[in-house]
Amino acid sequence: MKKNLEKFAIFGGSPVFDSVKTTMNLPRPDKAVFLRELKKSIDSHVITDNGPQLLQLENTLAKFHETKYCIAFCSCFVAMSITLRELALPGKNEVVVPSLTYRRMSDIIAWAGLVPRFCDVDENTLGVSSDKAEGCINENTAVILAPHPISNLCDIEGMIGLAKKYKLPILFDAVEANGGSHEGKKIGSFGDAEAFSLHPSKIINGAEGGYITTNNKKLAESLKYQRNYGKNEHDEITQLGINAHLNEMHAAMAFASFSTLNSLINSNKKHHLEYQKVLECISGLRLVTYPLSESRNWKSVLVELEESWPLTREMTLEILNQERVWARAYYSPAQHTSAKKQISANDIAFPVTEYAVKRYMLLPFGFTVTIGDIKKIGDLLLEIRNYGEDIVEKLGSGDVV
Amino acid sequence: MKKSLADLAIFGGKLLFAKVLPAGQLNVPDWGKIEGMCDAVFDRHYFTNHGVLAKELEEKLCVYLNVNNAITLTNESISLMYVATALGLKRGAKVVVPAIAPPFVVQSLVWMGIEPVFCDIDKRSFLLTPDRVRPLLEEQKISAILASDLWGALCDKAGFSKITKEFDTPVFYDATHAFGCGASNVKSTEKNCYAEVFSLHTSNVLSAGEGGFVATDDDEIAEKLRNLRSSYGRRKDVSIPVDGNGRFSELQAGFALLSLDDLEKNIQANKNRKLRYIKKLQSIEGIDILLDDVEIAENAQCVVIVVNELNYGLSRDMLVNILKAENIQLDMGFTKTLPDIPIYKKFSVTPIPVAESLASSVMLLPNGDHVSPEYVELICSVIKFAHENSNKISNKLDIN
Repeated sequence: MKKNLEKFAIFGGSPVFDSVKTTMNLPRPDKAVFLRELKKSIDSHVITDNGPQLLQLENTLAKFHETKYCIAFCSCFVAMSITLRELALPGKNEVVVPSLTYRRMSDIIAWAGLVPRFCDVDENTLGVSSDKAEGCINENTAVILAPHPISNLCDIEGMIGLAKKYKLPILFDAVEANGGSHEGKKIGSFGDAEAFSLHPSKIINGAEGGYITTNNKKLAESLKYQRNYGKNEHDEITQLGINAHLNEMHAAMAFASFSTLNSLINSNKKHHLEYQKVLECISGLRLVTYPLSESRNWKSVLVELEESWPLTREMTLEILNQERVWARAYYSPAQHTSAKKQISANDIAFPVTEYAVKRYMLLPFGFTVTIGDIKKIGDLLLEIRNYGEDIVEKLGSGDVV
Repeated sequence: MKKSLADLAIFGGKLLFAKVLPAGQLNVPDWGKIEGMCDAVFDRHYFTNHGVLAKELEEKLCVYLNVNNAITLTNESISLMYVATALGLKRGAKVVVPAIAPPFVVQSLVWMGIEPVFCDIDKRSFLLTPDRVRPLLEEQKISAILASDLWGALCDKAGFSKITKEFDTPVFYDATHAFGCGASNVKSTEKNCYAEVFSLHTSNVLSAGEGGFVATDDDEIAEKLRNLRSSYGRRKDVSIPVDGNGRFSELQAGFALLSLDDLEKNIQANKNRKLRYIKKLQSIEGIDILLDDVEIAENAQCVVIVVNELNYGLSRDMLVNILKAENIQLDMGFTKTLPDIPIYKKFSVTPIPVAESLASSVMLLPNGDHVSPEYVELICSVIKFAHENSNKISNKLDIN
């Protein structure tokens, strides 16, 4: 407990934690499974290029998502660029996408040779909804990109309805929603395709990697060719492609991580509920909760700093970071204010996005964070709240170590 | 050994290899060492985002190549795209490329909307040369030149340096076959080389399983590449036209470090196999072995032969079919000129007689960890047998 201001690390006290607590999930794959699978690859000298590990992983994930096809890539970034490029209607170049999303989304779109047109998000889900996106659709719209926000899901049915109404393809970015369900149906089979990440910060750790799920055979085939230098099954280059393979080491790692998924999600849920308990007693902070009626991965602790919270979000983050609590801003800056290339439209307003980029933060979670740590983080936040006005005053005087 | 025509798999005989004999180097480090490396990665619980192994690998590559910067990236395709981006090449820009090169080299550029201008190769070296490129630079607005150190033979870098100065046009290199060749070739006090792209794909002598890296003495380009890769590993923030994601994991780095430890051993094994091929093939009429001086393409990873149909008795394509039928996988990346590949047909091309002649006659033979001396003997014996029975084979293939 911080008894006085000087106890805060930002004013020279010792930090609450000896090592940093991050927001990355960092699941620990089953090492025995990983080594067993990897040894097969090493023994057979097959380390990449559509090997058996890749097939095993793709089959496992297709089954998990209840989709016909899964196509894995070297990263989710590349997977999404290739898929957007493939889905985009010919001769058109705009992607309708919310501004409150992954900070490199506009770059993913640029690598696909397309340009984003940003829209606002729904205030309840912080995700895109049909009423927010519809105003952005025009004769140049090539494809809709609908990311699921952290914790909640976007307006799946509304967005699919919108895509149908305007005869547009739709890709869901399901990176944050992996493991979730919508009305009992697994995330993965909605829209034309869905994109997932295998980065260690997510719930399936392949060291690196990403994948696309779809029920569209033609799309699946084309994506497979495009990640293999545009080569078809006869090894002939029939379309433009690059090397976008997920190598066998990463595929084996993801497979070994998948085998621990259930226990990871159970543990996530326990930790998340602990946060809920701890944060309930701190006024000014609102935890975004997961619904109990659907499957969720419970992997992120998203908190709104309400009007009554005494500090700005930036100040709060700075104080926490000094205590080695690596909380971070939620999707900031907004893409409509930061993207290098975009179609700007004066008639689109971003009130929800502009509020969210200033007032939300993610708290540490995952491998580095124990139940005991969550209690300590709760205590720390309570102290910050209680000393809030004094902290603001001292920070204002420039009295920072 | 094949004794009669019926013994050839193409005519229904028993396959020389029960399992496919793959193309490419496919070297793998010792399992015990890989296991140890993986243990350490798990202990650190740090899997990617420019970790200790990626840093160590980059340092060692800089020392090995005697170059200021080595930037590890996801793979060679992404490495090429990021170099093009770092050089400021934009959609619609024209880049001179050799008419024969690994196809992916040009795919990366076309993916970015860059227009390749195919240029014929030199008759003796089979490489792009300053003399070949010069007329194109005089006629058209060219934004850059991408030269390829094909099969490990090195381009005339000093000559290209003069071109760069004369036309103010950057030159960058596809060095995917060339790791370990003229190890000091990157270093240049004149800074005549903007960047060299290496592949760490399993088909090459230095392998990360999958991966790539860029070697450059140009610190500005290097920093742009680090910025393009991710926020991890940046030394400072610099302006780039678009962000990317080209991370290189600790597993890739760990694998490549072990592969680097094995490099000399693997190069020596390549040389031994290549010499065995040369010994067995040099007496066969109509088979020419390119780069047969092992001091030229010093990593000896590519065993390249040219089939002269008139003297050999069969065309290259017939020989390819005979070997494929025996379950030998061949690298087919060079059996067409690039402008002859359907996806590149829309791009304009000046006459490329040298490249066309080479593409119709060249082939690469298997060379790697998995190719034993006995396998080399077996492959050569089929090539010899086919030559000795070329008339009969040719007739029978015609009938079939």
